[in-house]
Amino acid sequence: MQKYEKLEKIGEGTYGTVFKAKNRETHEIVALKKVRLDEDDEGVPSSALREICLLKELKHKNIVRLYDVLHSDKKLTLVFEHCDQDLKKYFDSLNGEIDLDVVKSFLYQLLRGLAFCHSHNVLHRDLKPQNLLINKNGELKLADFGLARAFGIPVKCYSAEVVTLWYRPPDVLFGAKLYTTSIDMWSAGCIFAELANAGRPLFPGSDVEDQLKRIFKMLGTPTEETWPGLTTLPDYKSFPPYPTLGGLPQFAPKLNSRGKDLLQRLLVCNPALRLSADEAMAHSYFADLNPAVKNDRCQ
Amino acid sequence: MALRSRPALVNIGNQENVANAKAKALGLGHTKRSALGEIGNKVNNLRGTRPMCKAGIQHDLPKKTTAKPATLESLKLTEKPHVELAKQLVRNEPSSPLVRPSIEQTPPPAHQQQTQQPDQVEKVSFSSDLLIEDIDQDDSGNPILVSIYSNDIYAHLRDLERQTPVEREFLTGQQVTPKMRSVLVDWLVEVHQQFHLTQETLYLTVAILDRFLQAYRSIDRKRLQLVGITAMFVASKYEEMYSPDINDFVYVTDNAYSKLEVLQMEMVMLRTLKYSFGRPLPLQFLRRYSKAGKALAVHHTMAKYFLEQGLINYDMCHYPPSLVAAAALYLSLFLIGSEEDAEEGKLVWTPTLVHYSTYKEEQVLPVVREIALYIINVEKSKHQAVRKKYTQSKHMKISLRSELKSPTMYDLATTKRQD
Repeated sequence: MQKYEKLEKIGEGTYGTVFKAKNRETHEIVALKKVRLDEDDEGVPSSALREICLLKELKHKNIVRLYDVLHSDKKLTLVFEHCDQDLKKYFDSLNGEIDLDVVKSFLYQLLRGLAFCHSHNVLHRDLKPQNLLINKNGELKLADFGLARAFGIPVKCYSAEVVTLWYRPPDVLFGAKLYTTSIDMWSAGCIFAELANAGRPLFPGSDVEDQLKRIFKMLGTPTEETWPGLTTLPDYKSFPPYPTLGGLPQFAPKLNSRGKDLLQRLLVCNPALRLSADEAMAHSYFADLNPAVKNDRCQ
Repeated sequence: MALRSRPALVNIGNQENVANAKAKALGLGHTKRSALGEIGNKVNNLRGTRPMCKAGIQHDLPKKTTAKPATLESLKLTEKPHVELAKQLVRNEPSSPLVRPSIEQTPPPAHQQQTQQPDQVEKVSFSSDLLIEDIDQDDSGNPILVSIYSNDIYAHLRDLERQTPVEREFLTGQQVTPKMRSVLVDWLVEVHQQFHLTQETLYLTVAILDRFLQAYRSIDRKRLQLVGITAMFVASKYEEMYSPDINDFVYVTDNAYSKLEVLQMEMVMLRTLKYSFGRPLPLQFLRRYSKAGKALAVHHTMAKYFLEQGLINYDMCHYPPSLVAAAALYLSLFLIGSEEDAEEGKLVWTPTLVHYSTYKEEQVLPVVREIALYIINVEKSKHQAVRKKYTQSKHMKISLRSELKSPTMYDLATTKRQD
């Protein structure tokens, strides 16, 4: 690895360690993700293969840029643009206070990156604060496409083993394999609530059942009427009929009424009724968004 | 006919590689796929005023059928074609030494980010031309059809298609000949069936194979089968939920290559193609067109038959997937229904199809003729894997249908090309 000087370990991705590094010639700071290749293994992991292929097609300001792929004997090294921190670490630095304009800007950028993925037939499937990178000038970028995949129309069945538990939608928690862009929209809603609460996770469940219970206690238990087909999902289990008390607005007291409305439209148990990223971007909550963020060309 | 409103069969068996899990663990053949699973929900609804299909043509519509699991015996059968392949490859000499350089890929125009108001989103595919239907308008309640992104996604696929071309006669000057390629693809069709992989994987395998041969240019006949099997190995990783174990790929070549050779070829392939596997598949376009043309299952299946036969055929490689898919659907719509229908001048390629395919009839017709030509010669061909596959009832026994040998077909195939 002559071209780059390794500086420090940043974290662990879906497959492999991530390092901060400096290009010896240009002094540009990059992030290196190493993928080990074992000869008695299956070659390049499908997660790495997909991440590389998909990121090469997704060039957008709100999606982390893959600069290069380096090959050596027993490993691949993915060279990414470097961002200062991820949203999780940013939350940790906040001490429970967050500027509501920052919340709005971050959510908008998240939705814009997601709309770009979805209109390029890519599902991210692992949105969470750790996978959202931010830099000093307030830009937010989707990262870690290790669980992402391209989808067709109509979508086919994909794995139900996706999305970190806290950000996983109820349909997937019930084992749904036929999901679509709505899978990422639930995660976006969870992240919105977490942003508005300066990093307090919305549904920090301990297992699938606890996760569903927390969701239904907050949003009310769905029924066949509110969600046709619910009871036929592969791992459907009945839950006590928790009432719809409007717990969600109370969770995010600092958000204005438009923000609360948007949050409720993202966090809908029935995936067919969840807002899309484009619809969410057009919501009145963003009417007073900083024009510098809104009018960004993003290329 | 009651059958016309056949509901969509949602594909239940498609798979993917999330944790690079191994098919061995699950056992090959665990997955069931419906033959017609990918047809969209609304395809057969009578929404427009010009139903494409006439009565009396649906006699072969099958019940939903599923693939039988691969037995050990059937897996063993795949050892044989290897031997046959090896023989074939030696017999065929390289053709003309003329080298046709592949054209450098040009970077695509940057995709413009669109920010739409919700009420515009609903109408995004609506055209001012009243003859053109918004084929997504009834789908907003059906999220699996991703209707609000359909037009964006297809525009993106067309961009990708332009970025990943396969040139006409890309084998010229190479050791690998068109015949060798056909033998290889014919065998890959069989392997694909044995492994019970998704339809996408077969098309992607051939797309990877052709793009790799075009770019690498120095594959000798001894390594051609290695390239083929590695293309399928890579395609499976990209497309399948659980791709077969590498040892299964080695096994079907009758251990002609080692696991290490497959892994090395994988790296060569990934680097040569720069990890770009997003070339759209004709199947993706066909689904869109079948919807736009209100095609019945029988039309859609016949068009898929034409496309898979097209995979074998070297002369078809260079056509953009969106165009081959248009020609395949055109021909199936033209053949089925036209004979029962005395109405002269029935419009096959409707304004709606022109709009959604972006191709006018005169652009599609030359390719339709080429398809007709290889289909009328199918029985004389040495490559029978696709024809045999489509004699099965799960594929509506489509390759046995009389329309494929009808005078209409001969006329089409032998008409002198106008272009």
